[in-house]
Amino acid sequence: MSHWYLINRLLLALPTLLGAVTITFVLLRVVPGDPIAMMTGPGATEADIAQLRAHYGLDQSIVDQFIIYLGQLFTGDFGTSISLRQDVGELIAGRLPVTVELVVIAMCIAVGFALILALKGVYWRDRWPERLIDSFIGVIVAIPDFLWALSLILILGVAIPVMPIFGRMDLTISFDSWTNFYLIESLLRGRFEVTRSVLYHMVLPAVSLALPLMAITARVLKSCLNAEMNREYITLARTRGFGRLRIIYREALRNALVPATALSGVQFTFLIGGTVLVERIFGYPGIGNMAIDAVINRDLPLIQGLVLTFAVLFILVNLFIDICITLIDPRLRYA
Amino acid sequence: MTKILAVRDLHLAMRTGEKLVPVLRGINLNLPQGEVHGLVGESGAGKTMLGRVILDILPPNAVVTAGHVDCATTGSQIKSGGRIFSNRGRSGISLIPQDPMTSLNPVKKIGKQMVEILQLAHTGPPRALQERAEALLAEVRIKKPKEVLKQYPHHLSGGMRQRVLIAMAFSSEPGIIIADEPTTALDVSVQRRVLRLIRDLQKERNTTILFITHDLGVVAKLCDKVSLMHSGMILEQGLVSEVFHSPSHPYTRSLLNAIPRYDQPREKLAPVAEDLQSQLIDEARKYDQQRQV
Ligand SMILES: Nc1ncnc2c1ncn2[C@@H]1O[C@H](COP(=O)(O)OP(=O)(O)O)[C@@H](O)[C@H]1O
Ligand SMILES: [Mg+2]
Repeated sequence: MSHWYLINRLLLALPTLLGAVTITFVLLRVVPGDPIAMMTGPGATEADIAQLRAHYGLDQSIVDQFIIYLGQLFTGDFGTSISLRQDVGELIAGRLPVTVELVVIAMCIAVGFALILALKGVYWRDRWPERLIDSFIGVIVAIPDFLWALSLILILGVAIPVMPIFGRMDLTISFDSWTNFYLIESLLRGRFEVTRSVLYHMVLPAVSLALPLMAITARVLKSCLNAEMNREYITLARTRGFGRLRIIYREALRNALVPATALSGVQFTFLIGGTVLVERIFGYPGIGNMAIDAVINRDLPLIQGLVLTFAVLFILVNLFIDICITLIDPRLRYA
Repeated sequence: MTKILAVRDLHLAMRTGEKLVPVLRGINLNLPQGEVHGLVGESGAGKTMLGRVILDILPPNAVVTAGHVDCATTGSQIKSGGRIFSNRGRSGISLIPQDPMTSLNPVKKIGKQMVEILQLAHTGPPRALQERAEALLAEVRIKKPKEVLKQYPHHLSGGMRQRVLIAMAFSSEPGIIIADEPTTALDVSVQRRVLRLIRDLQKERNTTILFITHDLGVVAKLCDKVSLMHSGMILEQGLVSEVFHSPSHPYTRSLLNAIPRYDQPREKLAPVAEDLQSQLIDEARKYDQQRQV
């Protein structure tokens, strides 16, 4: 694999991005709802409304608006939010780190526990622990992330209130962040009370996001591992006297990861979509939560900026998964 | 000659659903040190399963219903009988597999795979093990062993992979090698070279080999003794020279007639007759019924 591969992949992503931009732009202007009406309320005069329309360029034809918008995008200008009256680029840059930290932690939880479940399940094949693990996975997989969020709030926030269920951090702590990556920044600056509080607040939303992903990944990985265990090179390893544990970890696992990563990769992109509801439920100040506000306010520039951001995240996650597969499987290198 | 492997009245069945389907029906086999024993039979006869019982790597649904396997292999003296199969592989016995394309771990370099095998028996710095692996590859006549060690299996041809697998099989200095149709998956020109390699290595080390094949021509060239198998039973057993000259079982005769010979016209090639096939299957069924009474 070379940097050419990366450049190629990123170039291929451009049409995808353009498609996402075009579709949202058209859809947003075709569906009913007037951002200016939302903004001004019932007391505004016709003249006020017309002036605001002109200010945001909404008086021009859709085609003209689109061309102007694309031109701005190329110069890095995402426009101005109608409801918040701030630069969309800056708004998103402030909130994106919140979501990125949440998503990365959720992925780590999902992958970590999926590995444990799948490996244990394969080790205990055809015995009762395997059946237990299978039923556990079956139950978890059946419940979507937002239902996990609500259940966790009910159980650990209301019935036994041991976990924080709102926001990103204790409001009594003051932390002037430069990057908004609280987790990494607080660690680097040695503000461990901030790290603690952020992690503590992250547990429930991250677990809600991670559980369904963990279950589906565990299921896929387990069946890939079982398929791998029937292969000839495993039989050969057995004749040499390698133990079962060693064979699973050091012979089968890496081979099973290739199809398992490819198959469950899609699920990781779903996780990004999952942040919208889960962040809302936990009042978590990321871009998912912001997206709901933007839609409620019919804030067209902000919605567009957010959709573009989500599209970029999807593409990056896919790229990351492809790179992982290439690193795991030597047969795909130098191809 | 000292006896190194003895299979006595071995019965094996596979559990499919509720039923136990017999696969091996009273196998007896004695291999003295240094013998190359051919095991011949059409596919489905149970040759691979017999090899796997001896190697002690049965599939999870296989049940040894009677009999036992005694091995006195180089490293240790292991006796297994009845249900005392550990399924961990028996030390002192190696396998040369049928399909070299799927028998190497695709994500590990050859060198790493060989060193890991050597580590089981030898302690020592990685450097020394690496050199040992290199020497082993040279012994199976691989021209640039250093480079091959650094390659992944998919870089190598089928013949090369089979050489690597042969080197791996001999690396633990086994007393017994089970060669399960080691050339079936190879090109004809490669086949002969690989067979010669196995024979030469066997001669040098006086290794005992159970050579599974369905090619009587190979048996004639390579083996001292031969067993003919059908439906999990050994129909005929004896010295290759005797069996080939005066076969006693009709199945053996029909197999020998089926070998294509350059000095005979093509039409004379006689496949195993269908009535003989069904007769043998009937016999196996009767055998099962008698055992159940
Ligand atoms: N995993 C398995 N489950 C059930 N039956 C099997 C399994 N593997 C092999 N068999 C059966 O065992 C018999 C012997 O198979 P095998 O030893 O592979 O034959 P051979 O190597 O002589 O071609 C066949 O009839 C086959 O159908
Ligand atoms: Mg076979």
